[in-house]
Amino acid sequence: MLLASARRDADAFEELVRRYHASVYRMVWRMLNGNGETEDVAQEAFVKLWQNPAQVREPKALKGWLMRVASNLAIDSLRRKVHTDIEAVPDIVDPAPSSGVELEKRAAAKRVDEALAKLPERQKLAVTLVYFEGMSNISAASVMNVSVDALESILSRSRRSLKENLAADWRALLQELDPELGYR
Amino acid sequence: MTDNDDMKLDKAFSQLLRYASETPVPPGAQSHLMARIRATPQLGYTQELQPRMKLPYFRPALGLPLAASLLLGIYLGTQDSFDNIWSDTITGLVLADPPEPGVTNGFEDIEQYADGELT
Repeated sequence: MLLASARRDADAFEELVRRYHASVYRMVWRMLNGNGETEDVAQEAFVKLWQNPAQVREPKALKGWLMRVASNLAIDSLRRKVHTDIEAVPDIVDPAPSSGVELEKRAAAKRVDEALAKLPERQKLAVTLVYFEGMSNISAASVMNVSVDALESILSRSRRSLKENLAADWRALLQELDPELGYR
Repeated sequence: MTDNDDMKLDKAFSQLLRYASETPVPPGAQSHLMARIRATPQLGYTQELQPRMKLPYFRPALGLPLAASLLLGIYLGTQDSFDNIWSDTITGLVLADPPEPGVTNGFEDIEQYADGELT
């Protein structure tokens, strides 16, 4: 399929887009803290693939390649200018009236999103790849071009950073999730 | 932090991330991307994707004249036909020539010395 795409077959390429676009988009969205440039950055990764598909030698490596290119583009974009903070991104309006529980959930989501947004780039990327996109440590390490040990170290730091970022909310949120666990 | 604490934190972390917002992928994002793809020309990929150039089919034949030339050289070398046009050094005639008269190497006089005719 990759080769078919390389031969200027836009229909075959569309299959690649259908398969991988959502993952790439979600990762970029996390990296840019929900910034409006997400769509452009995610597009750019696919355009690079379209323009020169020979860059990906192994079809199996395609998703990893797209994630790596998109994450690099996202980091470049982050460094070029100061982005809108996720706190400033308007919530998606739900047409149905929200219950008290729903509102609480949204408030909790906002607190967690804000804490994630404060993580350094590499920690955020590692968390996004492993926890949100469900990639294995090996695949995520390959995307980030680090060893598996280094990735695990980054993840460990991310967990501690998130705990610090959430401060008092950490315990409260976990208690809400599962009061039996009694996290400290 | 102990390993146990780290594992506990990992579990808590996984649970906590359930709270995070789901990323809203805009419904038109894929069609926007495909519209851009269809409008974007591909760059110089053709050469990179071409299979490696095959060796010319006649390449083994190039070795035949060289091999024939080598064999001819060996054959002619074993013949005397061309000795007259090659130098004596090559043909070995110098070694075959007898020493010139008047040039002595000393060995001829050994018997005379032994007989006491020379001192």
